[in-house]
Order: sequence, then C-alpha cells, then structure tokens
Amino acid sequence: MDKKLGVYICSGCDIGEAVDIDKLVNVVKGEQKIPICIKHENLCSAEGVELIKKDIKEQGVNAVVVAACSPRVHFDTFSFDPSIYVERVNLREHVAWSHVPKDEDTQMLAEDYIRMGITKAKKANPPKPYLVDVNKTILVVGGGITGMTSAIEATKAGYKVVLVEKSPVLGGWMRRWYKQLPQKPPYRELQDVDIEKTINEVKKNPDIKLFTSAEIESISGQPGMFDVSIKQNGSTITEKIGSIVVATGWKPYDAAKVEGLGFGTYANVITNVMMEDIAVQGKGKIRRPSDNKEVGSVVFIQCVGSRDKNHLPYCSSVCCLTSLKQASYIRDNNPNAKVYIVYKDMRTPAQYENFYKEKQADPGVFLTKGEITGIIENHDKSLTVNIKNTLIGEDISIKADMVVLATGLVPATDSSILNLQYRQGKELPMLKYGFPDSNFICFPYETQRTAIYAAGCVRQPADSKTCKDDATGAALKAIQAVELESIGAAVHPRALDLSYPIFFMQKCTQCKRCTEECPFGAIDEDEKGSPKPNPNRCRRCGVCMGACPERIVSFENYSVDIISSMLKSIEVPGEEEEKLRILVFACENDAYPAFDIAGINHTIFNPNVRIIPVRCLGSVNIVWIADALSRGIDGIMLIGCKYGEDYQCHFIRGSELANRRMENLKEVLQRLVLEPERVKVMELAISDYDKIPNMMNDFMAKINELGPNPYKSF
Amino acid sequence: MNSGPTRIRVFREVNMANNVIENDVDLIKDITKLGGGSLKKCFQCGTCSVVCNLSSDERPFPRKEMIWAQWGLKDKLLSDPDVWRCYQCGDCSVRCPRGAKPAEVMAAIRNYSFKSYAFPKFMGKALSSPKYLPLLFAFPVILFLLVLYSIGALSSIPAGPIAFTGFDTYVDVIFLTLSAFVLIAIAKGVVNFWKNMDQNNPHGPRYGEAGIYNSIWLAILEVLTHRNFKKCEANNIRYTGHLGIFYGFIALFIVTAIVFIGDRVFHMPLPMSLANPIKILANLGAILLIIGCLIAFYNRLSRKDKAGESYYYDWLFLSVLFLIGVTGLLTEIIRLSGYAVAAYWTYFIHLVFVFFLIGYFPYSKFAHLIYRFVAIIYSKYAGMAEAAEDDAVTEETKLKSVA
Repeated sequence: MDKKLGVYICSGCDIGEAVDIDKLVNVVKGEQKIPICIKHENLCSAEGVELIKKDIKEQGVNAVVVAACSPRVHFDTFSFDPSIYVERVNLREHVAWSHVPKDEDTQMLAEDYIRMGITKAKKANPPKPYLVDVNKTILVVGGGITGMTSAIEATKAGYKVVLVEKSPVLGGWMRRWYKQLPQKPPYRELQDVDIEKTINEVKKNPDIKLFTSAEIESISGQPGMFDVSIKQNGSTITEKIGSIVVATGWKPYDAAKVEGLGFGTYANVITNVMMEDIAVQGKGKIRRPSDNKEVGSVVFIQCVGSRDKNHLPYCSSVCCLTSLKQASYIRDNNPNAKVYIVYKDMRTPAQYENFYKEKQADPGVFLTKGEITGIIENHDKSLTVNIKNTLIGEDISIKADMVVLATGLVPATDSSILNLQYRQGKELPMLKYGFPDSNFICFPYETQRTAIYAAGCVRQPADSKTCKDDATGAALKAIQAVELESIGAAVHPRALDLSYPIFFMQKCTQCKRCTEECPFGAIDEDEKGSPKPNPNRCRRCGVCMGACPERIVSFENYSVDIISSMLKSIEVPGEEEEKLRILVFACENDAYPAFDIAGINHTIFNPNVRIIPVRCLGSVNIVWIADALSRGIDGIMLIGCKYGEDYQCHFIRGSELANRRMENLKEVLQRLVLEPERVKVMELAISDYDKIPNMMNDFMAKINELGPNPYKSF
Repeated sequence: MNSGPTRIRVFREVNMANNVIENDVDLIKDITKLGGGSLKKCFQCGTCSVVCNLSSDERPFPRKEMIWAQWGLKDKLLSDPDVWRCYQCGDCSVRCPRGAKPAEVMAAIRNYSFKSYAFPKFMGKALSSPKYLPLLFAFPVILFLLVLYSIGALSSIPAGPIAFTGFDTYVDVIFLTLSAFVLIAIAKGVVNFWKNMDQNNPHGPRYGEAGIYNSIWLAILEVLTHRNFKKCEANNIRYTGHLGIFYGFIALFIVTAIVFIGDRVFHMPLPMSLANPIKILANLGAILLIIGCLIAFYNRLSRKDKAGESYYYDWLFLSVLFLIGVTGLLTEIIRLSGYAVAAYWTYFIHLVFVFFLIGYFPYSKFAHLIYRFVAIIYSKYAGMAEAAEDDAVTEETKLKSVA
C-alpha cells in the first residue's frame, strides 16, 4: 500500500510551552521529508480534527501521525475510516507533563518520539479482520443451577444454547437439598428448594437443545466454529458451537481423608451431604443412621479438611451456612434438641449474616471456636466429641447422638470433561487448587482458553445465589465472545482489536516455541510440527512473535520489523556528548498507563528514556535488544506486570516468559563483552506511577557506573 | 510497672477427661427474663473485654461470661467473681458491634445469682417477679398493724409531743429478729458463693499474696473510694448517683446505730434538736440518698442508650431506697409541723419500707452490696484482679498507648 503520511502536532495542554513546536515541524519537514505537517493549538477540537479530515480527503493522506496526547485518550476523536492508519505520538503525558519545559533534553525527547511515530506509521498497516462463518450457538456444560441459569439467560438475550448434562436428570446438587438458604430479604428464613421450576423452564425452552445422560466426546476447532461431539446413548451427535460456558460444579471433599473424626467407622458420624439426604428422607425429621432414632443432640464440625494445607487449603464459603441451615432442620423439628457448632471461624458472607444472626439467637444452638482432639463412640452409639482451644476457656467434651462433618467443595475439573482437541491439553488449565482460573484480576469467568468461560462452583466455591450471578455473567461473556468473533475482533483484554498474527510459514523451522508458549493454546501443530494458528482462539498478545527465533510472526500493525525500525530511528548522541539513551519496552496494560498517570501527576523523570509500548512483555523479541544495543543504546528496561505466584500479567505468562528469555540472553551479552545488567526486566503495577522517577534514576545510575555502550562509536 | 516478685502460676492438674458440657437451657431463659435478652447476639469478638477499664489481662471479662451464658453453663456463672467486678457502666454495650449489651447480661447474671443463692429458696423466687410484690408488702403492714392494735395505738393517738418511742420495744423485737434471720440467710449465701468461687477457680485454690485481712482492707478501700467505679466511661453519671446513694445510706446507717445505742443504752433524749451534729448527719444522709436516687432515676429513664434497659430488680430496689429517704424526711417535717396523725402514719409507712429493705436484703438487688464485696475480697485474695486495678499500672499503660 502506498503510504502518504500527514503529521499533526498539537501545541495545547502545555505541549507548546514545554517544547519548541517549530523545531518539531522542521524535523518532520526537513529531516523526515514529510511535506504535510500542520501544527494546531487544539487538535482535538472539531476544527483540529477537520484539518486532518480535509487532508485525508484532499491530499490523499492515509497514514495519520497525531503528535498530541496519550493514545489512551481521544481514541474516538482521532478515529477515521478503517483504511486510514493512525499513529499517536504521546507528547503530552510522556513529554510535556513529565519533563522540564524548554529543556534541551525535553526537546530531544519530543523529536525522537516524532521520529519513532513517523517510522511506525510508514511500516504499519491498518489491520484486516479475520472473518469466518461464525456460529453463535452457546454450549453450556453442566445442568445444575449454574448451567441451567446460564442457558436460560443466554436464550433470553436471543442466543441458541446446547446444554449437555452427564446425569439423566437436570438440577445437580440442588435437587438433593431439603431446603435452601434464604434467597430474599430479610435473609432470615429458609426457603423450599425451587429447582423444579428452573428445570421445567429449561425443558420448555425451544432455544435450548438439551442432552441429558450425555458427555462431550471432543471439542475441536476454534471459537465461533467449534465442532462439539456429544456422546449420548451410544451415539454421537455433532454440534457447531460459538462459545462455551463450563458449569460442571463440584464434588464434596472425601471426609474419610480427614483422620480422627471416625467417618466410615462410626455409624453416626456423617457428612453434610448425607445430612441433606436424611432430611429429605425423613421429611425434615432427622433420624440417625445407627438405629433410626430421632436425634436430640448433634455436633457440627466445621472446616473438615478445609483451610488445611494438607487437604483443601481454601475456604469453601458455604459450609458454615449449610451447618446453620441443617441446625434449623433439627431445631425446627425438635424444640428440645441441642445443636453444637464447632468452628474455626464462622463465615457467612454478604446478606447471610442475617441468617447467622437468626440462628445464633436460637437458645438451642451453641457455637464455639475449637479444635477437635478426638471422637469416641459410646456403647449406645452416641458420640463424645473432645474439643480443645474453645471459647469456653477450657477443653470440653460434648456428648451427642450424631456428628455432622461440614466438608468443603472440590471443583469438578479433574476428569475428562471438555476433551479439547488442543495441542496444549484436553482440559482447562488450572491455576490453584484445581480451579480453572486465569487470574484476570478484574475479569471473572475468564479461563486460559479463549471463549470458554467457567461459572459456578467449578470457578469458585459458592452458594446457589452466587452461582446464578456467575451463570449470568458467564453467559454474557460467551455472548460477547461470539459477537466479537463474528466481526473478526479479539476478546478481552484486547477487545475489538482487529489484528491477528500472521505466520510466514516458508521460513518456519518447526521449533515449536510458539505452539508451546502460547498462553491460550491457540496454536496447534500439523504432523510435521508446523504451527497451525487458530486466530479465534488468539488473544493477540504477541507472545508467539516474541518467541519466534525466525521472526516469522507479525501483525499488520505490530511486528519485529516495525519495532526494530522505531528504535533504530532514535537519535543516539555520540560518546563525546555524554548523553545516555535508555530504551523502555513498556507493557500496554499496566506499565504504559502508569507512565501516563505519572505525567498526569506531573511527576518529572529522566528525559534520556525512550518508551516503546508493547502488547505484552512476552511479545518482546530478543532481536530488538540486539538491535538497540548495536545502535548504541546504553540500557534497556522491560517494564511489565508481576509474574510468578499471584501474577498480574494480562496474558498469564507473558512477563514470566520475557524474564526467562532475558535470563537466556545474559550469556549472549557476555560473549559480546556487554554487561548483562544493561538489560533489566522490571515489574510495575498500574498504581505504582510514583515509583517511576526512582526506577529510572536507579537504572540510570547503574548504567552510568557501567559507562556508555561500547558499541556507540561503531 | 509492677515490680513485685515473679509470679509462678500453678495450674490444677489437667484432668484427662474433659468436662462434659451440660447446657442448662432454663438458665438461658432465666437470664433472658432477668434482663439479658441480648446475650445470644454475642459472636465472641472480645471487643467488650478490650474496652472494659476494669477487665484484667489475666482474667478478662465480660467476653467469657457471654459464652457461658449462651451455653447455659450455670456453675461457671455462679462461681465467677468477675461478674461482680462489673459496675454496669455500659462501656462494653456501647461498643459492642452486635448489640449484645454485655453490661445488661452481666447485670442479669447478678440478678440470677440473688435468686440462686437465696435461702430459703422461695424468698429468691418471691423477689424475682412483681406478682409477689403485694404479698411482700402485706407482711410488714399486717405485722405492724397487729403491734399497733395490741398496744392500743390504733384507736387513739398518743398525747403530748410527737415522739416515736412508745412503739420502740416492738420495733426492736421485730427488727432484731428480722436482722438475725437476714444475717443467717446472707451468711449461707456468702459461704456457698465463696465455696463455689474456690471450687471453680481455674488456677486452683492458690491464693494471691495479699492475705485475707489485707484483701478485706483493700476491698473496703475500693468500695469506699468507688475507685474502679470511677473508671467507667459511657455511663459515668451512674457513678455520681451511686456515690450519693452509697454515702447517704452509710450516714443514715451510722445515725440509726448511734440513736439505737444512745436511746436504749444511754437513754439519750429524743427527738434530737436540729442543730445536733447527729441530726445534721441524718438529714444530710437523707438528702444525699434522695439526690442519688433522683440521679439514678434520671439516668435510667432518659439515658437508655448509655445506661441500658432497666428491669424489675433495678426499679424495685431503687424505688424502695428512694421511698425510705422520702418518707423519712417527710416524717421529720410533719413531726416538726405538729400534725400528729399524719406524722405517725408517715412513720408507719417509713418503717414498712425499712422492713422491706432489710428483711428482703439477701434476695433483692440490695444484696449486691455483700456479694460484690465478697467477690472483690476473693479476687484480691486469689490474686485474680490486681493488674487492672492497680492505678499506677493502668496509668502507665495508657501513657504507653498514647506514646
């Protein structure tokens, strides 16, 4: 495509006071030889925008360089026809607001940013979307309260749903409960289980294609065009699917794994799930297993295996409530009954505090913190529970007819559920404790597989109310996914991005780095080991681009060559000038905005730094480091999100991969007689903008210590 | 800081079998009825024990009393001296995040104790509910009417200056007999209380360094100075009221003792002149008592948010005290103004209230005087209470927390 550039420099918002705009115009017109260059004191005004539009129309400008504010603002103002490429040069936040006005170094910084912007605009093209025939049907896996709610909500929004349930009936665990927790204000009274209503709604819904006693044999393809094989009664049905909600729920933790509580040995030690069955059988009357005697006293033991690093390290969030619920079964049937609850901490989230208060007020319910030291079975099959560290102030024993163990929730993720035909594995990757999370801090339901969303207890231990909220949220995400896929755009976190990686296969060496390192399992392999990209599975992070040693992966507007050219356009002063040049690759998700916020707060930092935004640190190709160092850049910082435990990387592994690659690079640098300290990976949260000046100064001091880049004079 | 010798704590040998819990559900209901209706709201955060200026680090209260009450652990509550170290200032109730009002629960536990330690038992019950109130008043009224009838005073008003001496022998007999009964009843209650405290002392029958005489002396000092009462914050007006009632009562008690001995032994001329120092003390005492009671009434009626709810035990005791003061003073005024009939009948009513106060002493809230006194002695004797009650230490801690 023939490029015709137009450069538009804004002098508003202090830019004109900080730098000499005329000198910038000279750089554009003189040095860069671009005749179309206009300065304006308020480019984002209707008049300013009109100037650009006029040039597009009359002069045929198809690559617009806007040298004004951060690309994070006025996105819409400077959006033109999709065929027009727009490059934003951040003169406001990154120059005028964060550096000393009218200073020589500030001027040099602005000029470099103009050069970099022009270079990028010359090389980059507006992306053409990946358009395929997208099926917008949503697959819901699991027919419990979460799955059914998800299905119903999706159909309400006008989408077709395929619902697959393993068991012959819908309803999941809820069908087994005798009563449910209060669902409406004032959250004090138990309610009847109303799951039948939801089941009927699903059965009657013409937009829900229901498969019970069915399992998923395989899921192949990519979002928008998944081929899902469903096995039912010995036959296999194939469905075209756009996106998936996983609502496979939970399993109770095996109480027998917790020693010393007599489960499995003593007839009258049962679990909370068994308690529900007893309540249903007795229609509310609680009879103990050993002799069917109606119970007069029951001890509930909380956190059986939960919040214990040897069992389930997390809190299941519903067991305390379940015990309070079951305490009311007993008390409601027998006013003389005594119910004891021995807890680690009573945890009754949100409005359920009211239910806790209600049950606490019952004179027959006795609560204490405590640790169980043992349970003894007496001759009459009653049990004596020994407890230490109680709130009573001494070790106590309680004699009871029955003991109920409050076991926690285990996510149903371990067996073959989705059978994804992905190179990286058949199931959803798990983050912690078997939950298929992806640690997208502000974005629940996201998994590490694009367009597959987890909801309900498979995502986090939850009560039915939270499950319903989850179900609705995940349905919405699934809808967003199919809609974005249908226009060839990326989903979160680069929502609406139309670019996607293009592989120049002739040069591929089948090294498999891209297929292995893709955080979303987007790239499969053919028999020879060549990558088979699936653009709709892709999040456009560029980790594959960073990984590729042959540099065959590129986006229309983001490639190894584009960034290389940008950094090569930086003017590096000679050794005699004693001006260092530091290059910063800043992650667009957190680090780049942090620099913007630093600017907004007028935080002054070192002007010898040149910032290049990258989609993710994982997209940084080592060749950029080599290019920068060979150009005489004195030091390079890669600033991205926290990695490792509790990582904050928006692409899961990007910053971690960058760190690993830079570790590998150290050896190469040493061979080139360059100090490895010249390249540093750093973490910066979006809120850490105030740390920037010191970060820069410390690194600058280190580079000063090392001296200028010895390759400068070459 | 306390520079005493290092204290070595000796625990009772750990019993291999734990205490098997027995919950007395009736106790929970009783305490609820006696003013502790909020007790089940407590979720054991311990804020109450932290904000209490009287609670000690070693034996904090009222957190533990709250769960004992919730669980219906009667033995623990009845043998706990800490229940009596609380002056119901309300600091804990004001700060309680759950509205559990520990101060009211503690008061209810004390009321429950009057009933539990009562001898004979039926008297405890009689004082716990308003339905027996007419009976309780009817007894002294009938008794005194019988006396008056037998000496013929009902039919004719004695001639001459108004004096209350003619009735004295009978009054003496009645009140001395009554006092003997009361002493026996209270002694029985106190002995049981002491035994219970001793048996359930988790640190064993090991006593502090104070010694019994020293403990009694320290307890007397504490009661006379209201030293700990003064530390209350939320409801400090209560301290002022109590001080008035307390010293008014002491003054009247002393005057009564002097007059009794002076009249019966030394045949002191009665009535005394208004300028007589003893008479001045008597009138001062009566005024203090009445003012104290008025403050208490005001506090209970108009500052419920801080003072907490008041219950039958509170109103009965306060009303009787107040009416004794008022009828006493009225008797004097009417006597001085010369209305014989009115003077004699007012005196009659006065005596009925005095009978009520003294006769039902072990079973009414009045008994807090003795149980609290004994509990303070025990706390000091058993070395349970020094930490917070040592002013120097408290001041130092406060300074530290400020620093």
